[in-house]
Amino acid sequence: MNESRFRPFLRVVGLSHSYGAGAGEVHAVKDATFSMFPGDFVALVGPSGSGKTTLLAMLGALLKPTAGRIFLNGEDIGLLPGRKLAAYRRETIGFVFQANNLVPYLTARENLQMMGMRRGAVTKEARLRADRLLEELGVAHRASALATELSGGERQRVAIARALMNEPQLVLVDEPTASLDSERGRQVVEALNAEVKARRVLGLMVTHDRAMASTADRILEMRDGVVSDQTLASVLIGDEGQQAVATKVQPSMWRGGATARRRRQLRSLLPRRRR
Amino acid sequence: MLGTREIRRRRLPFALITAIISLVSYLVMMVNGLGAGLKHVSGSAVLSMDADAIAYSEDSGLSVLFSEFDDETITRIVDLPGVEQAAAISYVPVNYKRADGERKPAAFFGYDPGTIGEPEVIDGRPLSYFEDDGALVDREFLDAAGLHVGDRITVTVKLTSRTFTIRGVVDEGYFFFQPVVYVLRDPVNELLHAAPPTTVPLVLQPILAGEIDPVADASSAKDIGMPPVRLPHAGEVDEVKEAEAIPSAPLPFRQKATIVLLKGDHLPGITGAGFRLVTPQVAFHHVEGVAIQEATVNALSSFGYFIGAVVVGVFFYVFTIQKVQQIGMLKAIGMTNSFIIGNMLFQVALLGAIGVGIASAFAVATAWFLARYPDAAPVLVDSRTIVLTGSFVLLTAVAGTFFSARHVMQIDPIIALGQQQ
Ligand SMILES: Nc1ncnc2c1ncn2[C@@H]1O[C@H](COP(=O)(O)OP(=O)(O)O)[C@@H](O)[C@H]1O
Ligand SMILES: [Mg+2]
Repeated sequence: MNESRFRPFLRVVGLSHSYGAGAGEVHAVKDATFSMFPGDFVALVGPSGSGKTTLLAMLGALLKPTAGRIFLNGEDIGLLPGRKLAAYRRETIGFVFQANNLVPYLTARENLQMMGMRRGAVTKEARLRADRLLEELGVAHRASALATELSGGERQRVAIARALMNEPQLVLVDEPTASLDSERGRQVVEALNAEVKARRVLGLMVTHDRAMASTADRILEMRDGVVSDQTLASVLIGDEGQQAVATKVQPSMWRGGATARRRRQLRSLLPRRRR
Repeated sequence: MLGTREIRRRRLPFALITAIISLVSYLVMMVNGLGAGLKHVSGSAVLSMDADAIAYSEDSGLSVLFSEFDDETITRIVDLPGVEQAAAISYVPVNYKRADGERKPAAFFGYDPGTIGEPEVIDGRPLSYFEDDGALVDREFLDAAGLHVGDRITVTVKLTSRTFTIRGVVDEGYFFFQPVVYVLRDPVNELLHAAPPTTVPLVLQPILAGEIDPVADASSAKDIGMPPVRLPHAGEVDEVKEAEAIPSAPLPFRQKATIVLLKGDHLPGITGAGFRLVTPQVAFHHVEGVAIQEATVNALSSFGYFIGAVVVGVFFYVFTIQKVQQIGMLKAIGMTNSFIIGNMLFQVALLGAIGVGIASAFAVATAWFLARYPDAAPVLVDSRTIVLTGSFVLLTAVAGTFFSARHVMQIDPIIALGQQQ
C-alpha cells in the first residue's frame, strides 16, 4: 500500500496477566513469548477461558500486563503512561470486536470518518480514505446506510474498514465471525487477511473456529494461558526487508547453516502460502 | 459531529429533553418575572426616587407607614453637613374613586415642585406650585386603569375628601403594590393629618392669624413650639383653604412630611435625634413584604434551577447507561474521555439553548398577555430576566451532566472485548 511506510514488527516477551490476587488469583496468560512480522496474519486459537481475550487486551493496551513486555517497533507499550494510551490505540492499533463495533446512529461512512476527525471536523483526507476503504471491503454501496441497517456481514466489513482508517500497525480482531454463518465468516476473514497483506501490517485474530484459523498464515495456540507457536519460523519466509527485521528480533534463528535448512523445511510446511 | 448526528437520528428522546428544559426554564422565567414584577409593584417608586439617601424617622423601622417628621426635624436633616439638595415627601395610602364610581387603592406621594422630589413628567404637564387639586399619575397605571389626562379622581381619608384632576403622566412605578400618584404635599398632609394646608410653618399660623401675641403671651408661644394636633371639622377645612387663598412666598418645606429625600455625599448611615438616613436600596428592602417576597421568589427559582439540573442530569445519565457498551467501544478504539464528554456537553448546550429559546418566546408572550390585565400577576419579563435565567438554566443543565461525565470516565474500554469490567 504505502511503500515508504515503516514495516511494523511485534515482539512479546514473557507476557503474563493474572486476575485477582491470593487464593482467587487466575493466571489468564502465562509467560507468552512470540513475534509477528510485516504482513503476518496470525490466528490465535484455543478453548474458551484459555486467555485469548486477555492476551488481545494487553496487546491493544486495554489491560496492563502483570509481567513481561510488549515491543511494537521496539517501543515497550507496557511503559506508555495512561494519558497516552488512547492516542496509542487510536493511531497504532486497529480493533475489530465481536460485536458493537459501530456507532449505531452513524452511517457506515460516518463511522469511518469519525476516526479521521481532527478537532471535531472531518478532514478531506479522511473522507477520501473512508470511501476507498469501503470500496476495498466491498461495502461502498452501503456507505450511507446507518450502522443499524447493515447486515451482520456488512457490519463486520465496515468494522474492518474502520479498523484500518488510521493506518494501524497492528490489527487486533476478536472473534470477528461469531455472528456470521461460516461462508460469510470466511469471506470476511479473507478480506481482512488481504488488507493486512496489502498493507504489510500485523494482524492477530482470535477465533475458536479451527476452519477459520486455517486461513491465517500461522496459528498461535493457547491452552490454560500458555501460548505455543508451532509455526514460529514461518515468518522467516519472505523478502529481504523482512529478513532484516527478523534479524533484529530473532538473531539466534539466523546463526549457522541450520537456519537455512530449517527455513526450507518450514516453507514446505506451509502449502497454502501464496507468493 | 457525533453529538449533532445523534440528536438528528434519535429525535424523539432529544426532543423530549428539549421540551423539558424549555418547560423548566419557562417556569423559572415566569417565577423570576413574577419576582421582578412584584419587586416593581412593591416599591419601584422608592428606587426611582432621585436621592442618594432617604431619611426616615427614628422609630419607624424604615416604614413609610410609621415615619413622620415635624418641621424642626426636617430642618435639622436638611442642615446636616454634606446635604446638597433635599425634598420632603408625604405619603398616604388611599382609596380613590373614579368618575365612574369604581374604587381602587393608590399610593399618594406629596412633593414640593422644584425640589428633587418632583417626578419627571413624560406626558401632560407638571403641577404648578399651588395646584393643590392636580395629580401626576404613573403611566402603567394610567394605561391599565383606562384613565386619561384630564380625568378626575376623588379620594377620601379620615373623613376628608379631595378631588384631583390628572394633569400629567410620570414613570415612577408602584409603591406597596399600589400605583403611585404624585400630588402636592399640602393635599397629602391634609389627608394624612386632617390638617389644614398651609404654606407657612404651623407654629407661625396662630401668630399670623392674630390668635397669639408671641411677645405678650410668652407661655403660649412656648406651647405652640409643640403644635397641638387638632382635628378640624369637615367644614373648617375649606374655610381655612379659602383663607389661605392669597399665596405667600413659597418656603422650602411645609410642616409635616413622611420622609425626606437627600442628595449629597456620604449621607446614608447617618443617624441623629429622631431620624435615620439610608440608601434608596435599603429603604426598598424595608418596604413591608419586600424582603420575604424576594426570599420566596429566590427559593422558588432556585428550586426551578435544581429541578432543571436534576431532570437534565437524570436524562443524560440514562442515555449514558444505555450507551455504556458503545462508549466502551469508542474508548477502546482510542476516543478520549474529553472527546466523549465534550460531545455530551455540546448536546446539552445545544438542546439547552433551543429549550431556553422556546421558553423565552413563551415567557415574553405570557408577560405581554398578562400586562394587558391590571389585576393579573405582575409578571415582568425583560431581557435581563431572560438572559440571566437562560444562562443559569444552561449552566445548571451542564452541571447536571456531572454524574454522566463521571460515569463515562469510569467505563473501562476493555468491555469492548466483551469482558467484565
Ligand atoms: N475480569 C476478570 N476477572 C477475573 N478473571 C477473569 C477476568 N476476565 C477473564 N478472567 C479469567 O481469565 C481466564 C481467561 O479468560 P479470557 O481471556 O476471557 O479467555 P478466552 O478469551 O480465551 O475465553 C478465564 O479463566 C477467565 O475466567
Ligand atoms: Mg474471549
